[in-house]
Amino acid sequence: MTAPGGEIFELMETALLTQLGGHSGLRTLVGANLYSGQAPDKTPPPYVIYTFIHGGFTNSSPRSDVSVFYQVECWSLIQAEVRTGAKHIYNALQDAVLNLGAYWNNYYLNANTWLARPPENVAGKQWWRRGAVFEIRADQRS
Amino acid sequence: MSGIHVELRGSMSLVERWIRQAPQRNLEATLAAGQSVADDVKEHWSGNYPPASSPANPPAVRSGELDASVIAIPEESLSSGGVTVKVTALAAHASYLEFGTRYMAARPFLRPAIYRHRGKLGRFYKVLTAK
Repeated sequence: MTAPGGEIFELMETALLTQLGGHSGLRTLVGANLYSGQAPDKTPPPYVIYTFIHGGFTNSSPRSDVSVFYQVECWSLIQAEVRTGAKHIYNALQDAVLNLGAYWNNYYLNANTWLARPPENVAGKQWWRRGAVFEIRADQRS
Repeated sequence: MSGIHVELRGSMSLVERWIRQAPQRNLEATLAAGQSVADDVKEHWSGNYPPASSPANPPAVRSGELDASVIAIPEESLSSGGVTVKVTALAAHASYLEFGTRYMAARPFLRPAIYRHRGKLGRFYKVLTAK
């Protein structure tokens, strides 16, 4: 799943994945289980899902400028794990600077909204989820 | 006398009329803003099912239940007199689509509409300063 709009959004998703995967606490908790949109069937919890929510080119300045929102959540059968996972997600992304290559500059990355959805009951198991929606802004280097 | 002297004169009846009408205008403006967001949601469904929408895009219309359930509800605070409008989707499956589930990627439809209105809501309140 890729956000619409071209190369910058692919760069952003790749950089987001790299940033999450580079956080030692999160890596210890979920390993390589970081997925876009949805985890593959039978993926053992806990894992992290990141989803493009909305955003695009802002058209607010002569230079290309984008603002996009990603929902990043930790899923688990254990409530304490999603709390820890959400904390690691926040620490990994809040005020981070994503490497978007030679032509784009990430100048803003902040949690916009906290997400703590009620658990889902699936086949007698409670699935917990917790995370945040992060806003990422980037502009083209001059 | 040096300096600048500014004197404002106005018709008290005009001011009184404006103050009397302000709450109603505020309610109308806020409701119009909320209705605009609700209309925007309804304009951006991913066509009709089938096919199903792709992840991260608004849902496709299948039964129309979700579409019919998107409404703007105005609320007036009895204590402050402030007006709030809530744009909500009342269908039971609305949050599953908006946030995704264990077995389905999210298909956000409300948050993108709010985003598209970012910076545009002020125009609904111009009516408050109209003569």
